[in-house]
Amino acid sequence: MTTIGALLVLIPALPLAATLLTAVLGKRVLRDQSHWPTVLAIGGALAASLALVFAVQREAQQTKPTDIGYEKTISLWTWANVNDAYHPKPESGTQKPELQAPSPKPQAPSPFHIDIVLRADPLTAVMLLTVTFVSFLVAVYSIGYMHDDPGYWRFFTYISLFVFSMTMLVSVSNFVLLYVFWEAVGLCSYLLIGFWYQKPAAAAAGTKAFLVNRVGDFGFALGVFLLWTTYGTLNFHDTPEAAGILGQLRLHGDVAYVGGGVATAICLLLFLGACGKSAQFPLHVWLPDAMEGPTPVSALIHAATMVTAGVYMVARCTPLFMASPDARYVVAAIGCFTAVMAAIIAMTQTDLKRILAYSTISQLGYMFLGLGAGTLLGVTSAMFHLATHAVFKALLFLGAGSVMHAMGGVIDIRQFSGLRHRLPVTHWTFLFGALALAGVVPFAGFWSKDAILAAVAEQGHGHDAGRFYWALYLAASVAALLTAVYTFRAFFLTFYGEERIPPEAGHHAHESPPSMTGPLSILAFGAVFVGLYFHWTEDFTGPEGFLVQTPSLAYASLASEASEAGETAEATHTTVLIVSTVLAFAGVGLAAALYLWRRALVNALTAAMSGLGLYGLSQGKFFFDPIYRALVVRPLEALARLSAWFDRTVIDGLVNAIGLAPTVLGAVLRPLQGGMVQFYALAMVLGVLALIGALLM
Amino acid sequence: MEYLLLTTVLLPAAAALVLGGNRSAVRWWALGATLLTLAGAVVLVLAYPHSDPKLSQGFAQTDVPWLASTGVPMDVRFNIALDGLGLWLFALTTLLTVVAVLVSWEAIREQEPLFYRLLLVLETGMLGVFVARDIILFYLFFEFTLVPLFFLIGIWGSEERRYAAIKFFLFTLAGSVLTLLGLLAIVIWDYYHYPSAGASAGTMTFSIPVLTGHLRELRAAGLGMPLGLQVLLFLALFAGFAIKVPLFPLHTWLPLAHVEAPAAGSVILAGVLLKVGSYGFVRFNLPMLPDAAAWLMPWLLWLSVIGIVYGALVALAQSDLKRLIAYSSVSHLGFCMLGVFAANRLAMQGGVLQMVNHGLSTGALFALVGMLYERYHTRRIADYGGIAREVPVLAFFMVFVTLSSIGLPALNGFVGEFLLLSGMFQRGMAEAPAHLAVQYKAIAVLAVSGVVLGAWYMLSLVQRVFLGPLRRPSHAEQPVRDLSFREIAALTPLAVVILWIGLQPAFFLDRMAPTLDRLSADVLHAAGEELQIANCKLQIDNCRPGPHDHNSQFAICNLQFAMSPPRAYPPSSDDRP
Repeated sequence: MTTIGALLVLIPALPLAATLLTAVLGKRVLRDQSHWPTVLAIGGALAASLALVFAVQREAQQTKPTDIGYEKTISLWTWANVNDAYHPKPESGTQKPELQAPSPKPQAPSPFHIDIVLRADPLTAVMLLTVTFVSFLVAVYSIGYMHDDPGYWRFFTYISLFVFSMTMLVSVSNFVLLYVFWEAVGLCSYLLIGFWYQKPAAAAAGTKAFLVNRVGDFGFALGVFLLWTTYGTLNFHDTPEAAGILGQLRLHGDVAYVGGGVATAICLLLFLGACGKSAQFPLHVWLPDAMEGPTPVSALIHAATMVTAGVYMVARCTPLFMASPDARYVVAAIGCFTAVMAAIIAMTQTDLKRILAYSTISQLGYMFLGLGAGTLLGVTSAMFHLATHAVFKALLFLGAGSVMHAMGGVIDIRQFSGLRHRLPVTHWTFLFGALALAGVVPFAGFWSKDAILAAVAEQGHGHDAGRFYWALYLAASVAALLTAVYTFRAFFLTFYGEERIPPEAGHHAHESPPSMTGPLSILAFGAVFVGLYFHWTEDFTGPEGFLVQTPSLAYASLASEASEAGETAEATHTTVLIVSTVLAFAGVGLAAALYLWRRALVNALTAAMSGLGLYGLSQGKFFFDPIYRALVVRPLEALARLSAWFDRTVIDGLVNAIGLAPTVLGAVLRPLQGGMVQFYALAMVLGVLALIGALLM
Repeated sequence: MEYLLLTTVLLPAAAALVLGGNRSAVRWWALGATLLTLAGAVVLVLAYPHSDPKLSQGFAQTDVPWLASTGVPMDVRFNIALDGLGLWLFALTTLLTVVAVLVSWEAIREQEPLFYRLLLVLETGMLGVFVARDIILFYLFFEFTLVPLFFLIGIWGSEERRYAAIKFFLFTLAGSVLTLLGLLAIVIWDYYHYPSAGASAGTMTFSIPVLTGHLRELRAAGLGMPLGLQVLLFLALFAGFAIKVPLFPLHTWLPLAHVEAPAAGSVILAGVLLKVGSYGFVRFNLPMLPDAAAWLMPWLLWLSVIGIVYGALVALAQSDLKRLIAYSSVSHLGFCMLGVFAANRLAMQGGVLQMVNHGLSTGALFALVGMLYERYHTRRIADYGGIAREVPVLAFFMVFVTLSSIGLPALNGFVGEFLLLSGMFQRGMAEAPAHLAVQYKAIAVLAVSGVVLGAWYMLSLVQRVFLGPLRRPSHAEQPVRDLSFREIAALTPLAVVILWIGLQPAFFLDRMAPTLDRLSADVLHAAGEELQIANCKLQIDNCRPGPHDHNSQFAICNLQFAMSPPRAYPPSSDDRP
């Protein structure tokens, strides 16, 4: 096995080994040392991911010029194989005309052949590095955060199980396994949200998260089935039996992509799955409730990694989305609407973690907006934002956890304030995270968010859908302003003003231990420099960058014609840059004015917004939970009760009526039954004999 | 090897005869016998020659004349053998009987010798169903399973046990009488229509593979059974099998029987006996009456999918643990039947694998509910809350099995559901005639929505019973113990197989695939899949039945097309090495 192959196997294998080790030994042997397997394994996986990035980079530079992008797959074992399972339809009328090339061979029946295959390409390498980096820091942080919890070993078992599932999710090479690990990370999320299962809210939140995700997965599964019936394979890569959905043959145009309504349906169904996992409207309702889980979990799973799986999946399927402009419009519109809606909700929330949760929803909306722009810049900038967001949002959550740790579990920003002296490290690191989230130049979020906005604005003219994208750009800019405001509202309310500490804090109200502040400092460093660095190297967004070596994205760069001349694009970029900068500063300034300078203004603003109905809308979280309860949950429960009643009375009644004769017979026999077991046995034997006799006649 | 199969089938019944000793000795004898049976099944599975096209269709065969005498033109034989369809259900039965013995260990406290005798006799009956190759033998075993279970429910059940036992007995008996008539009609039709010469001339055969072969040959020659008759016979067989499965709306005996049955009875009933019905469809209806199966396909698929959604909805409204799981069985069996009736390769393999999966997961669920009942003495969900704190190991198994039951990937349920739903979609999108395509698509989408509902009722069950603040029923025993070693030993093998199927389904699918291809080939032809028939016709005339066509080996050679390497169509050079 090559170096790349070995690394690919090693990265998920280490956390898996840690899971098993902790699960078996944690309770009895490791006890309060249960973090060691997890921390060491994820550390190892992080090192391996770094090595993988360099290895892929080196290999990608030597790619054959005929190949589109760089990919390498290694096959471990066969999961399932059903021969001759798919018979292509004889007619092929729905294919995209411009991609229709003469097929090199007639289509043969293809098998349903799913191997356990891992793949290496730049997209996977980048995701692996992001995931293991944040996971490692969160695992270290958890040593301090979870130290007294009775479920210490259980926590680390789940965390390493999650890291295993997530690393597998981004490295597998077919849709079946993608779905497998898609659900597996959902399971880890379920287990970790309900980690404190004695809390009814936590138990309910876990179930809710799983079920809402199931609705999304319903779409995802339909999408996968539709892919199977359309393409006759579910592999990303080419195999001897069939051209993969994202494989070289198809990217080269040797085998066509299907266009039209089918393509749109596939994309929208896959996107429904992404909406569930990545908490996009209308399936975003589970994420705020998921904050019932321990804070490191919120940082790792519900901010930095798992929720970005939807973004990863759509980016991975870029060629499919290239075949359907309609689907791209939907993705962009949903992303943009989610970004604005979640930002509005975040304005009025009082639970620090929920503010951050809504900001996660909003930032994920930006990523989908970028993906929906449908240009190479859009997709790569979404991935760029995914990486920077992972760093600064993990930082913010861990900072919030540090606050919560010090406040004895209180997380309501109305109950404490002025903590900057008590928690100096938390204060500074949180500030850097907040600046990155608000998109203040030159912090991490600025560069990536700006790239997304530029991609959308670029689509805003000289184009059929120009006006549509232009409107999206304007809305997203408004959301950027709101982002700066709500971020700094939370920051000022927590760390500034008169020092107030809730009674629950007790003697805890001091800075967190080094195992917690260490990761905070590293992430803060990242929040300052990671955006600038990658903006400068253009690894993500450059047309010749590292990420573009991914086959899917390389295809996108071939397929999307430059929408406008270089100079206009340059001008657009500059305009966007200036507007973003102004908006970010305006937002921070507004927050400072409201919460540091004149609190009275807050009330005035609240009153004004209440007049417009916006305040209630925001505080009520757009009323999604009651609406879903009234429109989905209640009717289904009523239908269930109706079915149960129907079953009891109508069906069983009918059956009993039809079976009147047997029932009467039963009634006749019932008095005989008590001690007369032998009678029945005898009757049966006689019956059998009679039967045999009848046959012999 | 042939003696091993015979021994394995008869061993439990023999043990039942000699079983004796005091109450605790009886349990050990029963455990020993079931473990030995399980060992036999494991050896058979490991030795099963799935790559050998001939042998895999009739492995470990015992075939002796039974009810034949000179002058009577019929040839009823004691003929048993394993093939890819029966193999896993056979193994599942031996495994679940061990579990059933272990869960009864403390729960059964009266008339133990009789209880374990009945259980062992029941095991022989069930094993016999899955290996019988003769219609009369099959029917005997089929009915034979009823009697022990009737007593298990009627004697060791809970309050309403008598009503439940009688309803169960009469309901299933009523259906299976029609099934017998249907099967006999097939035999007689064959007797009058299949030209035979030589020594077998004028003999009425009851051999299932021979009959299947005859019907296929006649059909290929254009002399097959007329559609009207096929439909009539299909419905006759349907009566018995659909009640066993149970298919909507014939399911109402099931919740009652489950609720009243002792834990072991529920494990066996859900785990194995329901599969007898679905097994019957695959063994008889599809290969023997393919045109009817194809003609009725939309109706059958609708029934299955209604069962899926309806069963899930009713389960959602239940307040009794066992009723909830019983209705979940209705829903899950709907999935199995959807796969079987959709009949293409993916759906068929998924459907049959799902039978095994349901046996494992629902068997484990009923065992777990039995363990809960032993501790808390209630089945009402509302009486429980947060007991994961008291019984963490039980909670772990419960969550694990729940995840298997709702089709979480990497566990077994996912594999079956994914395969059969892929197959169903293929039927709807690529293979359906135009006027049915819309219906099939709707069925496929509805079936997937059943997966969402399944997660809902199972997870809210876990949430209500195991999570949240601790709420213990008033009459719980004090203190509540977590699982004992014996109980863990009962559940662990199930958990291991659940994980195994999830991680490496190919091992299981490879062993069933050739047989299923063979059994479903004619339905697919009847449903208009030309590629299949192209392959089929090529070889069907190559083998005429020989003069002594009593056992399956000869009939099998008609059907070798399924075993030959898949033919690229039209052939291409670089498709295959």
